[in-house]
This record gives sequence, C-alpha cells and structure tokens, in this order.
Amino acid sequence: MTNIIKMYRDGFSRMDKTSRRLWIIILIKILIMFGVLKVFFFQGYFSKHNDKPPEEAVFENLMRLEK
Amino acid sequence: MIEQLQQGTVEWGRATFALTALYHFLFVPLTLGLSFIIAFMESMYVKTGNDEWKKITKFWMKLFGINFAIGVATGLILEFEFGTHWANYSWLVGDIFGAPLAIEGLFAFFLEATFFAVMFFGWDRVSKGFHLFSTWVVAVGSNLSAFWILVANGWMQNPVGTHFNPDTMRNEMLSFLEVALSPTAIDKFAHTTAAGFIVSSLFVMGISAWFILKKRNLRLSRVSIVTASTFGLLATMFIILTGDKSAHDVAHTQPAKLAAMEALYDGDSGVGITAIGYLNPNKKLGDKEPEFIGPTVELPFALSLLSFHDFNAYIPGMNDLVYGNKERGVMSASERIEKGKKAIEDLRSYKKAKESGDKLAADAYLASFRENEKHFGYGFLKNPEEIIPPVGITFYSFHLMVGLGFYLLVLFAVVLHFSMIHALENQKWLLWIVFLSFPLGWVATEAGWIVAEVGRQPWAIQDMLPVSIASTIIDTGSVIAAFFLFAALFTILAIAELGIMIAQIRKFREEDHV
Repeated sequence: MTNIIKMYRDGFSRMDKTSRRLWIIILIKILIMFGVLKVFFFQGYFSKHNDKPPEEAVFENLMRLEK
Repeated sequence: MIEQLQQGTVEWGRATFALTALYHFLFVPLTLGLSFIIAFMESMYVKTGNDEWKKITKFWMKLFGINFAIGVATGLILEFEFGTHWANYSWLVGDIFGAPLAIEGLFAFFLEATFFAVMFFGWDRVSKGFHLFSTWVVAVGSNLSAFWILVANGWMQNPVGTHFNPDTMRNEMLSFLEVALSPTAIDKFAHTTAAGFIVSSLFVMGISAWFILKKRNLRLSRVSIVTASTFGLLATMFIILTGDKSAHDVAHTQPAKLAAMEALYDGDSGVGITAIGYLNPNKKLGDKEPEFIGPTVELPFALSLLSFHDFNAYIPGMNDLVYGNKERGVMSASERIEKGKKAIEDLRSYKKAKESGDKLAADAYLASFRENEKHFGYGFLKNPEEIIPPVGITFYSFHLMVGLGFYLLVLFAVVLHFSMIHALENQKWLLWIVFLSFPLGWVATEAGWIVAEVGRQPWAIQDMLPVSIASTIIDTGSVIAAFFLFAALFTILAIAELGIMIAQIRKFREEDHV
C-alpha cells in the first residue's frame, strides 16, 4: 500500500511541464463541464420538471407530439 | 406553436449531438488503436530487452497520454444531452442504456485510476512484467469500454432483447445477453475498433514519415513505420470483413438505410453497387427521373451478394419501402403509419381504462396494442416519405468511407513492402503521401458515423421512436446556446491537443532519451 501511495506521490511530483499542463486542462475542462454546463444548461429535464412522475410526463409529451 | 418550437429544438438538438459526437470521436479512435500499438511495442521491449523499444514505447505513450487527457470525459457531454435535450428518449430507453453505460463508467474509472497510473508513473517502480501487464490492461480495457457504448448504440439501430412496459413507459430488458451480443452490436464493435486501429496506424506512420523526411529520429521511425503499416494492413483487411457483416446486418434490420447508402430507388433482384456516380439532385421519390447524372461505375450483383450473400437476392428500394410492393411482400409506410396510429390510440385507451379501474377494457386495449406494437413509432410520422433518410449525405459518406478504406489498404501494403526491402527512405514521394494521408483515417471514421447515424433517420430507436418525438419540449434558445458553447469548448480542446502534440513531436530527439 505504501508503495502504491509513493508511486502516485512521486509520479505527480516528478511530472514534466507538458504533463502538468495536461492536468490543468483536465481540471479546467471538468470544472466547465460540471460547474457551468451541468448547472446552467443540463440540469436534466425530469429533475427540473418534477411536478409529475416521469412516466406520466413522457406519456403526455408523446401524446401531445402525436397530435 | 408546439410543433414549430419542437422543430427548432429537434434540429438544434440533433446538431448539438452530432457536433459533440463527431468531436468526441476525434479522440476515441486514437485511444483504441494506439493503446494496442504501444502494448505491442512494450512487449517487444520486454521480450528482447532492447532499450530502443523502450524509447519508442515511451515516445508513443506520451502522445497517447496527450490525446487521452484532452479527450477524457468529452463523452460525458453526450450523456448530459440525453437527459436534457432527449428526455423522452432517455426515459424510454433508461433500462437498456443504464446497464451498459454503468458498466462502462465503472470500467473506465478503475482502469484509469489504477493501470493508467502504473503505465505512466510506474516505469522504474514496478517490475517490467507488471508494467507490461498494465499497458495491455489499458489497451484491452479501453476497447472493452468502447464495447459497452457500442452495445447501447447497436440497440438503437436494432432494438432486441427488450419489452415495452406501457405502465412505466419504458423498455425493460428481457435478456442482457441478447442486448450485449446482438449481431448489430458485435459488428459495430468490430468495425469501430478496427477503424481505431487504422486511424492510429496512420497517425504513427504519418509522424514517422515526417521524421524521416526531416532526417530525424530515424531508428524510431523505421521501427514505428513497420509496426504501424503491419497493424494498419491487418486492420484494413479485418475492417473489410466486418464491413461485409455490417452490410448484411443493415440489409436485414434497416432496409431504408441500405437503399439510401446505394441511392436505390426501385428494388430489384441481382442489384449492383454504384461504386462511382454523381447523384441527380432533382430525383424525388416516386418519379421516373434517373438516379445519377453522367457516367457511373457499377459492380454488378455486388449489393445483393453483400447484403444477402446471394447474387440474385431481392433488395427493396426506397420507393418499395415508402409505397409498398405487394408482389415482394413489402408493406407500405402508409400502412405501417396506420397501424402505428392504432397502437398509439390503444395505448391512450389502455391508460384511460387503467385510470378508471376498468381492468377488462384495459386488458383488451393492451392486447390490441401488442398486435401493432412493432409499428408504434410509425404512428408519430406525418407522411410516408419521412421513413427515408437524407439520400445525398448517406450515399456520399458511405462511398467516401469505402473508397478511403481501399485506398488505405493499398497504402499500408505499399509502405510495408518498401519498409521490408529497406527502401522506404529513398521514396520521398511515398513519404509525403503517407504524411499527407494521416488525417484520412479520421475522415473515413467520421464518414462511417455519418452513414450510421444520418442513415437511420428518422429514427432515434429503429421503428420505435422517431427523433422528433424523442426530443424534449424545451426552449430552443438554450439548445442553441449549448451548441455554440460546445463548438467553442471542443474547438479549444482540439487546438490544444494539436498544439501540445506538435510541440512534443518537434522537440523529441531520440539521442536525448535513454
């Protein structure tokens, strides 16, 4: 276990400039995805419109769209 | 009003999904193929003990890492879109998508958290054998991860092993094995991973050719180019076989897609393939205009042979599928729409009877619904012509993909030949062709996805759910905003990847690495 932790610790601390830059990109990307896109644009239709159960909402949507 | 709003939402929702999927698939094939090429190179290092192989492995591993870091999690955006833009669809498929996507998520997480770390951080900390094992686990695991996504996609093209429950309004899984091992899913997996191998082989060959042209890193480039051309040649031969299997599957499960791929308006026996041709832009369903303008190159009987493994097999054309062909037993789309509308009406009546507690009536409506259930999706279509996907984009994308496939087969064979006789470095013309050809793997792969996805329109789930109904009734403005945000985000990521990779390739000198 100690060896595994040491491998991760040494690996992260000895990363070169490119690898550090890549980690920054990953973190910014995840921040944008979960902190901006998910919160403001993609809340999920059913969690936002939870006034009725999803099966009822879907049935009503389909019937409305069929007409 | 709802219809207009819905139309805008559907079109922008589709555009956003297409943009996300196409960008996401710039990163995926390189992960799928390069991981195996690296695993092979490291195996050679462990087997021979030659440090040259280690140096080569580490160089390509670095580029693999860049691609992986930029591409990781971009697929999650597709899942966000499912829940927001395609809520009806998400609910209807929930049970089927849930299992494969959960397996994929767990798989990816454990793989990335453990074996990726060993691959990049463990060179001097674990034994050679365990490091090699980790590299192979990453290669096999990444491809298996893709398998579960393709199972989900395969189910949308050919929904098997499920049962629609009108009470929950969901498709419920009857047989996990039938869903996971459906021929459509297996063909898709084999075809897509082979495409990833081809993209990666071209990537390795392209960069190696550039090094040779610049007279740099020659030892690395020679070995890499032999390895990549061998992998590429084998993958291209394999993809031709899987393409044949896919055509066979499409002929059975998505006849309108097959007809559009070949611009086949009137069905016949012993149908050929138009290998080269320019579509007549004025051609419409049901008219007598010619399908093509100018000369065409045709391979006689090829479509019947590929589709049904019989030279004289009958292939229905788009007119047969829309207007029906009683002689050949092809039901018209109008008839299917009528049956679909009956199924929808029965579903509506079933729900009402259930609500009012009339069990007898509910059972009768349910039985009647089951009779026409396989036409359910047709009931949402406004006119029969809608069952035909856009012909031009499907036809040209298909022909571009196939044409590039055969071109690459020749390219891999020629490069391997010159490499084996140690004459490649003198063939500057060939090195330039290899270098300039390296984006073509991506072009072919994206064209293949266009055939698969545009070719199955109007369906989100084949015969079950048209895209216009799969979409959520939401404000079009937010979908448009999401489209442009994604376009910006992905373009920045693609530029970042390109920039970091080019910098990495430029500064690499094999003499500096031990």
